[in-house]
Amino acid sequence: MKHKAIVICAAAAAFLTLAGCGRHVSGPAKAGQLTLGMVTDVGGLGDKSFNDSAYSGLLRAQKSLGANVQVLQSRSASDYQPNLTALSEKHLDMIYAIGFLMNKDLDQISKQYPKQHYAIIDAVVDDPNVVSATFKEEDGSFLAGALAALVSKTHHIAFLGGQDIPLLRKFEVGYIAGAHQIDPNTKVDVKWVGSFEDVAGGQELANVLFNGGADIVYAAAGKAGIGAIDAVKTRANSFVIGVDSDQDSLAPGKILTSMVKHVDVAVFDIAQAIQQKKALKGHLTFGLKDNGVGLTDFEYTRAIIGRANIERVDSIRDDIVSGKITPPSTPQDLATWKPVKL
Amino acid sequence: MLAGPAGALVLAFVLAAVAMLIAGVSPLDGFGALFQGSLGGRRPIAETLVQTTALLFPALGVSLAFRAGLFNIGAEGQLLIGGLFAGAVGAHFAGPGWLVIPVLLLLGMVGGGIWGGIAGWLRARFNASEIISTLMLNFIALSLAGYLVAGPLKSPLASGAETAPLLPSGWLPAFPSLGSISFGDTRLTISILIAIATAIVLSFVFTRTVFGYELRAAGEAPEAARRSGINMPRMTLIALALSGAVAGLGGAAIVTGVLHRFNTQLSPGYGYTAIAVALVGDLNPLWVCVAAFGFGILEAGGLAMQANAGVPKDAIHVIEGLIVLVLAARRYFATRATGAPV
Repeated sequence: MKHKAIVICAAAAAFLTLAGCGRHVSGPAKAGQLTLGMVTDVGGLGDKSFNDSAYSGLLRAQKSLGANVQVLQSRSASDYQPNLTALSEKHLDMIYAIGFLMNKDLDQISKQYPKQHYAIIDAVVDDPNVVSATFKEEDGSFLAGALAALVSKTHHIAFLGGQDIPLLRKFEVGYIAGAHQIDPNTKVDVKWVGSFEDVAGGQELANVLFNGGADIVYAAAGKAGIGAIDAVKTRANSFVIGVDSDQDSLAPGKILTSMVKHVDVAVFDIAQAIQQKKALKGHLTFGLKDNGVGLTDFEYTRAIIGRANIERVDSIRDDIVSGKITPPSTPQDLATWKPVKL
Repeated sequence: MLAGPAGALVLAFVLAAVAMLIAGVSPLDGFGALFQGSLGGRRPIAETLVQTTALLFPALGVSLAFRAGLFNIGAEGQLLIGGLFAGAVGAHFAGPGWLVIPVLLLLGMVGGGIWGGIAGWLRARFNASEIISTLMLNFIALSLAGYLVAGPLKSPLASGAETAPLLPSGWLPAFPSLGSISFGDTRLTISILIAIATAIVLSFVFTRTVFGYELRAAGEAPEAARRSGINMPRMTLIALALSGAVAGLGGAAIVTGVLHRFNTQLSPGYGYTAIAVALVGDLNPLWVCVAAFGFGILEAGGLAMQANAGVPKDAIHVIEGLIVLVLAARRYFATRATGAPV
């Protein structure tokens, strides 16, 4: 009888799990209602980063535009096409593909459904019915680099990247240029974790960077960046700069700021344009001006950074917005880039 | 208590229906979407068969090892390495399809075979438990593949960490048309036929060859097999290498048939689900085909359930788990009732 009880308990646990799964649909759409669909990448909802940020933009559209929203999560790369197809069959007003890994699949599907509108985040798909939304990560990273150079006591800072891919190069290059804008002699070390998930590896490499003499590490490594935050917690006079979402509260006072990427702003802006029947350009870039990227407001580190440095960073921000400074976005650009005389 | 496997399935579905009710989804909608999305037309059936194929290869590999008394938990890693081998070479291999495709599939078998063979060698040479080593090799495979696609094998054109796309001559041909029904616009390829052929070959080997007899003897009565002169370490090595080769062939089939490139998001855990498929199919290759089709319905229908009934993607895994649990429980109670394994 004991075994029977175990089987029953296991079955009960299994279906309570199922019962506990949330629903991410708002039910059938009413006539005239704005209908939005979104396909997550394998990170899925709950990643505290990219997909969650996109979802919060969708929820804002639901609330303030009265949109009907629907989210399909993907378990593997081979789910992208069926998910995009399933939403396309429903003829929604806009379908969002979240993440650059979907670019080839979206390219195929968008040709099969030429009348359906799509948007892709972080990649450019060159089809007439696709809006591509990319971010000027180099702008926000430039500010992060400038701030790091201003605060560093050792004049030696570091960059910790997830995977060495063009998207992450924008973070790296912007950061280095920003530091050199403040002081061309600032030393910037660079290391790559090789993954966005490897928290232990991120911690290990952050320790290597700190031990090498850097006192500030910009961790642009997704979840692996959490490892850098773990590493900095036990170190005096050392700081981390967070990324993607506002991570400042994860280690108050040890995270100088976070370079936030507002995927939610992109998602919402596109939804709003669709509702107002505004024409959308094929490729939208979100920078400092559009509030697409930016630093947090230094809630825990104001005293450490100091008012003068914050004002300095603010004025650089204004110079980027006004076009006086154009941060480089590729290693080739960086090679020929010179600090701007202000 | 439970009459036959049909009764077990019914019970699993009843439990799942109760869970759906608790989750606030009508079971009629849920199961309606499940079967509509897996069997309700040409496209859904094609998707179901794509999923069936992805599960069938690793399940056959697992069955082979289990028949030899070896618990290969490493089909996931073997599948990944097989895909890696095919993807790495396929990205650069130009030539006629009749040459490229068999070579890529063979490479998948070699990759998976090496990966399974490592565990086999460890077991044969050091008596290291294959349960632990195959499981651990899954993680090594993931890290190795992750490193390679982010580093040496990364396509300079890809925005993410993946190999360059396969040249079209390396793509598996679409499933042949049946009368007026064409599958050219679906993802169904001849890989389903290769998988079924593999099952038939394995079935023949098990029941009609000396090697198959020795393999089963090693699994069912190892002591007797050893005493009758079967070289057990050699059998262990061969069985795990072959098991890995079949799973690796599955990885190559996904790369050449579905994704046309390799990245580490290849599988949502096919190698793990395959263990359940193999057990439900009673380790008999032909019944494993039937079981893989059943799980294929769940996998393909699960995506549709998410899209059309708002049941979250994880729910389908809970239902899969319930089916395995009920079948296992049935087997257990049957054993208790009669005192003999069923």
